[in-house]
Amino acid sequence: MADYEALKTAVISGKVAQVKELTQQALDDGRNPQEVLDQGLIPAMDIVGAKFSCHEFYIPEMLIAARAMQAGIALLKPGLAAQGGKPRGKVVIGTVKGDLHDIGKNLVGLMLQGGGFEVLDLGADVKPERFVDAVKTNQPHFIMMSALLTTTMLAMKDTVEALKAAGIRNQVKVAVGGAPVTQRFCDEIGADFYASNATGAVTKAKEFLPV
Amino acid sequence: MIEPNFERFRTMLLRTGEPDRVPLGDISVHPMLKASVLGRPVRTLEDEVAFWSAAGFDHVPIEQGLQLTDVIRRQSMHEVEARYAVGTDDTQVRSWATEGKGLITTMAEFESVHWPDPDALDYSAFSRIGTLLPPKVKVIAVLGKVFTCVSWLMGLEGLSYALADDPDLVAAIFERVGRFQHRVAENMLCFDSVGALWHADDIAFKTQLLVSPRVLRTHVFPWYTKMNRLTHTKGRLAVYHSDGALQEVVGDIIACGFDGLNPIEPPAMDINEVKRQYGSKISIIGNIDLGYTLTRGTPDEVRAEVRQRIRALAPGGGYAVASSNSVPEYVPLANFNAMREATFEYGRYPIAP
Repeated sequence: MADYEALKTAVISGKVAQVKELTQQALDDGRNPQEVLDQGLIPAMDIVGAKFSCHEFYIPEMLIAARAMQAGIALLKPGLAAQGGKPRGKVVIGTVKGDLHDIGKNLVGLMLQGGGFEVLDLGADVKPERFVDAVKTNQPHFIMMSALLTTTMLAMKDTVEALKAAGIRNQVKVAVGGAPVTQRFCDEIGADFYASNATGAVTKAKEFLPV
Repeated sequence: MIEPNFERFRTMLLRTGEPDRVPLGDISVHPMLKASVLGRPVRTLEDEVAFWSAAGFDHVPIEQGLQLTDVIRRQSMHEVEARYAVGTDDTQVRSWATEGKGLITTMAEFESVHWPDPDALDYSAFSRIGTLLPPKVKVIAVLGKVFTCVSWLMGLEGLSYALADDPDLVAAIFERVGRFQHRVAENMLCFDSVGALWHADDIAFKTQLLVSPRVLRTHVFPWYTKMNRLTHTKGRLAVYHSDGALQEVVGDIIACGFDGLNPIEPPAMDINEVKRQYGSKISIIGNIDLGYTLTRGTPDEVRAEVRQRIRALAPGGGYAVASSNSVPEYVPLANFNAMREATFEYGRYPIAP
């Protein structure tokens, strides 16, 4: 009998070994990998996000929980792939040109994975044309850009313009975040949404997903 | 021309009434802007003194500490060259901290690090500046960086995992870094030119603390308390700087003994609320918005923001005008000048309503 409550608790407290054991146990019990993901790992990361939002969790607790979640997902992946299961959505993330600050971007990536999204991480110091190429190649639902500095966040505008110039702006939703980024800036550059932290990015991504 | 006078800054920090003027509180201005203000490149200690005095500051900042040594600058940072500045097509180089896996991930790596000797750092600027300073100007010695140095050495992600996987390693690194910085503080405070210590140690980001208050209370705040006791024993004052949302620990920061808090970053913190809740216990320095006003706003918008902050926060003392982080190369010169000039224009006590 799969114990999803125990699995959730293990993810939330970052217990990698327990998460592996409980995930494997669920699979051995004949549970569908998608069910284990949907009823165990994803709800656990939803709780982690909520705890982060109310300052019960901080970056370490979030990273440790995400690491445990990824250990579970690794066990589910073969089964999910065999079933042809599709992620909730596909997201290209990256820290913009000139900027090497990537922990915020990494947290967004981890929380998106925890929310059932497929994440393609382009890394840091990403030029607009690389975002454009990634959209052409991977057809994501979203690109999400991060920046630490007021001066580097202007590369977000360059990326939006590059998407327009390539004729693919309407194919993808553009999200922006990072220390100097505001809703006002998001509106100014014609991005689709802004989130102030990783959990907000996941919540907004779910809202903006095409039905 | 306003005569620089550290007593102005000291009165602001002590909250013993209103100084003659609202002081300027920044300690970090990019060399490109310094050169523009001074009319020549800032290359020497003499140039530094000339810039800070000509720009209307009551202090000259000098930094020293573990953060400037090779173990951090060469082994824990990465450089990127890009166009960061405004008004030029030239590129500049910025150093970026390691945020993933850092230099130290195990106790063996910790023990193999070649730790510099804090007594062997170069303090010559602190002694030499004594003969260069205008009579009433003092040095603000920039130090701090206990949490920051540990997160740079381990990477913030590495530190995060180690808090769960290897707490003894985390404790050992904080102890080593804290002891080092404390010794640097002792050395800095030997110089008569030093009027205050400025602890620049980012522990928060836009919406919250980077790590839990428990971690900070265990590993970081005790070092601040020790350094502040030493500072006050020597008759000097202490300012704390951290980016981000500090609401959960402002009480702790005050309890550590800091006299001033900087930079009260919008929108992470509401400076009026900080003033209302804590203004009787700690002075506040900063809040002129680097996210918009100083960088992308007009000089008129900068002037209006400075005027508003002075009117709202300066009456009774305990406030200094400064940027909400620092003055980097992407602040237009006209905006930097507008911030200074508006402080001179509107900052004379008694503050006009």
